Amino acid sequence: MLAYIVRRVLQFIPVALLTSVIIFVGVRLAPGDPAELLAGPDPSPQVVAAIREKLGLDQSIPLQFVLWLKGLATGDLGRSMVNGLPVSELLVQRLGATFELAIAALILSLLAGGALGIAAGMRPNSLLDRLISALTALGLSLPLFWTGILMIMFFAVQLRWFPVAGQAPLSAGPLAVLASLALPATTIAIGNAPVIARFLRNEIVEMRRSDHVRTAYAKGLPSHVIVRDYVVRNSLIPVLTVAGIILGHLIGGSAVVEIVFSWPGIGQLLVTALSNRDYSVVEGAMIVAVGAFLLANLLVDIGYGLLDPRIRSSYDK
Amino acid sequence: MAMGSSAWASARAADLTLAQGAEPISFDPTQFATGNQVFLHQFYDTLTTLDRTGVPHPGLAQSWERSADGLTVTFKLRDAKFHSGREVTADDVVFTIQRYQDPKTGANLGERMSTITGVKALDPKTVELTLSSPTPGLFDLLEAVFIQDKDAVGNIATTDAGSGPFRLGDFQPGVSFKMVRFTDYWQNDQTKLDNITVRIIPDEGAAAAALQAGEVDLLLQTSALTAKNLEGVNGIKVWHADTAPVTYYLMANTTHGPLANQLFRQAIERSIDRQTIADVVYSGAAVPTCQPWAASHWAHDAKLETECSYDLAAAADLLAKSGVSGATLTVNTAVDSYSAGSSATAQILKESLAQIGVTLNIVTYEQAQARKLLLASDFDLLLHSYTEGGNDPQFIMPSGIYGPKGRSKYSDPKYDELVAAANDTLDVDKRKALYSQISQRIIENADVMPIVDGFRELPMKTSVDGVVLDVSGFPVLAGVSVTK
Repeated sequence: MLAYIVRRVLQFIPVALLTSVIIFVGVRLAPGDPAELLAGPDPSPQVVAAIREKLGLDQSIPLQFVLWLKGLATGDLGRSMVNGLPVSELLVQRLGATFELAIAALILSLLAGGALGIAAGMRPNSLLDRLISALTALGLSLPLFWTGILMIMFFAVQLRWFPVAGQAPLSAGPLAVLASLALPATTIAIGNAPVIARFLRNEIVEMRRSDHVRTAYAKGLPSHVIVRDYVVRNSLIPVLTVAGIILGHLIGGSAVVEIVFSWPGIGQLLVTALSNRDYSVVEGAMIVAVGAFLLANLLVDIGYGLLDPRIRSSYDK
Repeated sequence: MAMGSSAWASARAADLTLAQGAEPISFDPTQFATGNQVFLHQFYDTLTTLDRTGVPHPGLAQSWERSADGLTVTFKLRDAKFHSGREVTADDVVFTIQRYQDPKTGANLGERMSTITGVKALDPKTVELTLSSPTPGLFDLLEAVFIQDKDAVGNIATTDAGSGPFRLGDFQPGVSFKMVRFTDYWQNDQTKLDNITVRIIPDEGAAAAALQAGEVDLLLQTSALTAKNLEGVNGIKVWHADTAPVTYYLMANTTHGPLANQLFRQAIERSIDRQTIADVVYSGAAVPTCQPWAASHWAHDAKLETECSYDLAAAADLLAKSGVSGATLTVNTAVDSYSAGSSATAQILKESLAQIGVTLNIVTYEQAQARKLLLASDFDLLLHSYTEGGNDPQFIMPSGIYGPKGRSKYSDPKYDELVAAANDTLDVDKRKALYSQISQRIIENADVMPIVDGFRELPMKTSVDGVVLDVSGFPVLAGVSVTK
């Protein structure tokens, strides 16, 4: 198992290198640069040139790339071109918020998606199944920003149960932290729980038709044991894949939800940095996003092993 | 169960919570980015301040004297402290002005600072400025020169370096920052608030909801449409600012095809339906104009406004005289804050121009690309804006918009002569007459065509009073009171 993990981590290096080239070149190919934006609305060419020089943008792109890569190798992601702060500091500030929201949203998505998926899968083609199918279709088709605004208008403005926007600091107490998490996490869950529900429902339907389940029933095992140990557990593997992808997305930053709810995460940072052409911050945030995907995949693979002994034993081969 | 609402927001009577969409890019007052404007007059003080009639009043400078030729001004500084606890000295003023002038700083005052040709400290409390011309707009300029603590500027990305009525308190990047009353401020008795919490709410709908839910007291940056929707909501009022407009304009690149033809440009000028644009695009929060300054500005000449009125018959006549036919042009619009409403304005213009046989293609760019094309004058027509409309005309004229350095690439020696004469006198009546002639030439040249002056709309709780905007539109909040 350990060897497998090490192998997967080593695979990360070429992927990260290739991604870094794509990110580095991609962001510089976009028209416009930070110097033109920083110089204010009405700059002289001399001011733009001076800022470009200060930011090192007067050097050739290959040289800039080498310098950046050199920094990266020593864990230095450079400094923001807009405010001069270390990128790693900015990312650390934002990662906490993103993690908090991602974990809360994933838990909600798994709970809601899991409950709906099991309920629908155990009674295929019933009225309940159709109702859940309609609900999940609705959840999938609602744009997140619209759901978010709707949640705000109803739960924050009308009922005043939760704050409209922003992340409560830990010092505000657990209740305030949970309250500030509730609406953005639920908004994300409304978009993601249907995916989990649908996967789980289809897996369960398939699983219930499988030979080992039929055998279990024939053996006279109690129904709840069959559902728990034979149907649901075996149906969780594809769900885990989906959950891993969702988690990767969320840690990469759920930009739309972060903007609607003023959540100070990586997604919001990335959008602002892109708009300001803050190259170093874009590069840093993208590396985090890519790293999150790779990490989520790794966790999924480890999770497979935990759920399925056959996969676990194959790791050691 | 109202566990979240205002759970961590301030609730004291002397506290104000406001929301804005953009985060400060740093606490550097040389950068006037949208997210920075909220702290400028709060963290920093200026040598002088201007009242609504344009009369300068003492700030960090308690008095000043101008030499007989008007080219030297000597300022006497008062006893005041920076937030670091250090006394404000003439060296700090010299440092600040030189910092604004250093191209590497990228100060957003642009070329305005070039009017100051020398600055020196005569003693720890006396500063002398040398000017290239009498600079009638000097005090207007000084209201945007925020004096900085030379020893604290190194950390300006994360903390302030000022001597203003508030200092930086808690800072939660991406979420909020607090401005806390500076008790050693030289006129602390005039400060009504103890704390100002600035919450960053990028989504305008969410910001409006936060005001409705009572989580914030004031929205600092919002569109006219959102303000209109909030007007009449219980407990909310909308303050319609009547100074410091944003002037939206159409610029023609006079080196591009038929746009080199003055009569053709004049035909475009008469095809701009300014009133419809003001009503539809800016939800009535704008006033049509064809002069560089707003109708409320002393330099504005009301009788000139008829010379650019919407008249398609006159436009068709001018087009015929120009000899241009079947022209196709492209107008650059953008989604950045300088181009608010530009796409909708372009649509209205397109309709009008189609009626006189001119085809207009509309292309919309995002912020960085729009800026690149603007700086390179890479456009036929451009819809953009400037925020200097409330400033002294001296600082509207020599920008990259009007005049010899303008991106329309138009040259008019007579215009340049008039501008030089206006910059060379302190006599207001003479200046008024000169600026009327300048406006006349701008209308005739039709290379830059002001369309409307958009005025800020600030939705706030009815309990909030005393919000002031300076000539540049930067908020001054020390005098704000909140009745809870």
